[in-house]
Amino acid sequence: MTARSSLSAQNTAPVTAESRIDAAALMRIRSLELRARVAVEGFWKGIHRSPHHGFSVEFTEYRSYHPGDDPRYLDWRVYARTDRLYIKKYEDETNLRCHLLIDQSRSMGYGSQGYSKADYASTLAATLATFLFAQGDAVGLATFDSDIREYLPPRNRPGHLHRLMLSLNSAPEGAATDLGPPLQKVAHLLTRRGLVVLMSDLLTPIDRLATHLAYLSTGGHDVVLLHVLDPAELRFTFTTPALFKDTETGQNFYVDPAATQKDYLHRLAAHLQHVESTCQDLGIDYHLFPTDRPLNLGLLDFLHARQTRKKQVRRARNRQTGSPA
Amino acid sequence: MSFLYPLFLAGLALVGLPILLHLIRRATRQPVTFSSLMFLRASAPRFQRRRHLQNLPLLLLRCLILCLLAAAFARPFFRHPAPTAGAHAGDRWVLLLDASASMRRGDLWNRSVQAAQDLMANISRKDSVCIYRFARDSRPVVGFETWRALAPDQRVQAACAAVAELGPTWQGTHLDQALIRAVEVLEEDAAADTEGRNGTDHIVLISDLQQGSHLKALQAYEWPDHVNLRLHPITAAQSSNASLQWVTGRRSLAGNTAHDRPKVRVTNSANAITEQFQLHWQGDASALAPEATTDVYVAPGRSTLVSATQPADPNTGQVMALTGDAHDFDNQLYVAPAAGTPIDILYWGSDDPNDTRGLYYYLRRAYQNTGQAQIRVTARAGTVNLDPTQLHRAHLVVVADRLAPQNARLLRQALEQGQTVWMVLTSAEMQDTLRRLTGIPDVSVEKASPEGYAMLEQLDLSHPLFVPFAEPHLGDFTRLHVWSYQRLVPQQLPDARVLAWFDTRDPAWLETAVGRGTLLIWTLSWQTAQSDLALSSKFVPLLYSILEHSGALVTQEAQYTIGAAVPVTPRAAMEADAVTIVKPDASSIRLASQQPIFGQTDLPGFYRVESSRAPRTFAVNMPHRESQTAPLDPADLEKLGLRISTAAPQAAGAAKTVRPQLHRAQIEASQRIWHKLLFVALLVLLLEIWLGGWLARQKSNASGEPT
Repeated sequence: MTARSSLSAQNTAPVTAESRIDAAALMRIRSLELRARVAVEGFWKGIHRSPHHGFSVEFTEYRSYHPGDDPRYLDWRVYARTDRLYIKKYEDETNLRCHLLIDQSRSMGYGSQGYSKADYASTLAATLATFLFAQGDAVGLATFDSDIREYLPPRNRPGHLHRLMLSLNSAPEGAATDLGPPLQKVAHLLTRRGLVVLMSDLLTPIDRLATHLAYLSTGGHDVVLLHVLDPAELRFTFTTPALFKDTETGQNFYVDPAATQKDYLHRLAAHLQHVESTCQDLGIDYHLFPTDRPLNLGLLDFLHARQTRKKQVRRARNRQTGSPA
Repeated sequence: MSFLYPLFLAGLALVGLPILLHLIRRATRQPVTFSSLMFLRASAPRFQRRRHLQNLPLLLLRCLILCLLAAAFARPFFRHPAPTAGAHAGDRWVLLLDASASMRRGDLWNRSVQAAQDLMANISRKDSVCIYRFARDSRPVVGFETWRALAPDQRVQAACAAVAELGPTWQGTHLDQALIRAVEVLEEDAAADTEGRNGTDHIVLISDLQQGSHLKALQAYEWPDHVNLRLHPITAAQSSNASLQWVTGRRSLAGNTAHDRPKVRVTNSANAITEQFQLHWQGDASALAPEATTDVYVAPGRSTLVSATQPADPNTGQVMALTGDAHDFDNQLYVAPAAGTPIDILYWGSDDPNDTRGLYYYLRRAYQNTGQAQIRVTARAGTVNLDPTQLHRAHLVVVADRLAPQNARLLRQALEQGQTVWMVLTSAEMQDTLRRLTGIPDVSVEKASPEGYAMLEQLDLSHPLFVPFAEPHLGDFTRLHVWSYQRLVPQQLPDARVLAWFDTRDPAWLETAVGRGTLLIWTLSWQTAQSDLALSSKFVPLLYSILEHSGALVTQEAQYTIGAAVPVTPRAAMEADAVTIVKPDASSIRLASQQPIFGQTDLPGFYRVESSRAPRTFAVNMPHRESQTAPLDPADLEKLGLRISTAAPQAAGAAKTVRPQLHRAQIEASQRIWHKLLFVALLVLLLEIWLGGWLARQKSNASGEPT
């Protein structure tokens, strides 16, 4: 089964309580590799409940028959209905090249759930990598903070997944987040088009976010942004006035949560809105991942959204070419 | 319940503090790490006022801690039942008056006498007083019984008069013994007390508290809790001091080179302001000449060795003086040349002094002059009549020849008076002499010639004669071969002690007492035809051992310190030879004939021993530690466990107000309730810490705040 077949299959996969894997329970598994395998198994379980299990070939479009085309691909039903010869065209079954870009700045080390955002993002990336690797796709990895820290080109060799896991296991010790330089370098490194999954908390000024993300999207890559945030960051559940210290800059000042919570949430919402709209403008898939959300549910949502988006793109393309739906 | 320091109860007002803190909670300054502050704005710190008390158990514990601390500082105590009407509440006071040599400095002694009189004037009429003067020893001046026997209005006057008659000695400061003696006096009086006095025991120490004081005995002494020591230091305006100490072991004061001359150590005190001193021999006519004076530079706190110049007459006692020092009580050093003890040995024999086969030849060579003894051996033929005075002067008589009856009679008299006679049986002809000396007519002596040779065995090594051979590797006499000797039957000498036997079961050496004297009988001689004893390594040690055993050879030093016991007479001193000792103040003391030790060395200077047998001079100096006049830190005494109170008895008027306070303090000290309060406060504090931590954890778990 290819990635795309899976992506199409999850469309109807029911989300049940049984298929949920508690993120906190998952994070208690120390080995990242094992953690990813557990998440992927749960993920498969959700997928395999689909009645469309086994659907393997992806139909894409019709085109007019030209002499010399292989008559095996003629759609005889359309010929019977319309008395015109159309060739049924299928998507290439080439292997996917996926690039995982993981933010490992110091702010990713924050976590209120007993594990950090970096842990969550690593598990998410490891799960995706395991999932894709199992399907024969090539997975690469780039970790960054203000610059690229480590880069593994996409491979599908035995042992590559293990190396990838080792790289993901490193703790976030980097500097502050800066998307510009690393994304620019990654864009230069990616010579062939593929899927780029960017995981970050985006706790950085985003006035040039559009420019930075455009490095990837303009290269023809299929870009997905997984925005990982801690529930404490999303809801600001602090109650005790305290001296708050920034993990990246070391700056600290006194904060009374009762007085500042409203303002915080307002500013955060504006920030998220800005990120989402930027992604929408650039055709980038944006998904917000609170770290208390079960991993497999998040992934299923993510895959579902991707499938929906592909169909929308396909319909739009068909409308432009006049192909039958 | 009463409180010793009730003012500390004001600390109870601090109980309001935790209540206030519980009501007003200051914003915490504990930092909280957050991923990014980009969406946050700084808030102004503020105080939060609560209307209700929270964590009431915690508040109560904190208040309790403060209450306990305040109560502990106030030193609570329970009053004892009032003393019975007939009881006497007077305290016991022991005044220790330092009369050591260091109190001779300046006006220290007068001030200490005045201090003692002032103290007695301020003591309550109900109190009992005992006064001790101490230096090397402690002597009572006024005892408790004497004090109580006097009329109350005459006590102070009589005690002051007794103290005024005292004077400082030249002795060292044995402060430890004095304090222990004072405690013993208090305890003895308490044990003998039948009236049930319940007062307090005090020891008042009036002293210059110099660092040279002896304290060693206090290290092993447990100071009783009921005795308070009050220090009354009498300090000199200038405690710096330089001193002299004789350090050389030389017996002569003569010497041509610096290496030969005797050495003197000059010590300067740590707080000295003078560093330049001069040394010279006092009484020397040329003492003022520049060449006779030695300039000495000693840095403060240091000492230096100085080679003394040769005095004008190195054969008599000399006084070395140190000038340039502020306190002159220890600036004179009395030095006496150590002459060897003159020992006269009378040898009764007829052999030629140059005959290597005889006895005298070896005896004369073995008894040589040494540093300890000037030995003179006089030989007389046994048949020649002897002057009794010559016999009387002799410290040891060696009989190796048959004596004329007249001489034997004289010798017997000398023996009975305490003389030591060493009889060497060279032939069987000496049998009648032995009979005369022992007074046993049936003693027989016959020549014995063992087959081959005889050896010594069964030596009585416990006898003083064999002390030099006590070590196993030295007591081997098996190499001594005897080819002939004189046989004696030990049963014929029932009082004799056999010191050694031949392996033929005949006695070799015997000792018997005759009157007060000692008769040593050797059945073997060192004539080369009879034995090889003269060539043995045992010979000379044996001879000197006999000399020492006779009491003639006594180790006599020339330098002593105040209070030292000086051996002056031989053990076998005869009645007619009583010794007179002339002290530095020209007073003379006649020693009894059997008193070998002279202990009245209480003045520095030269002591002359006038004796027909061993006249000599020895010097007595002040103990060197008395020169360490830097003041002693009272903390050093406290380290030894002494309970020190620096407060002196108050004036009579003030005593009325202060005494109840002292009494309360003693009751409080005996109960020590504050110890228990502090312990309880500590327990409550631990409980408060645990409870606080537990409540914080509970709150944290309940709120679910990130940590």
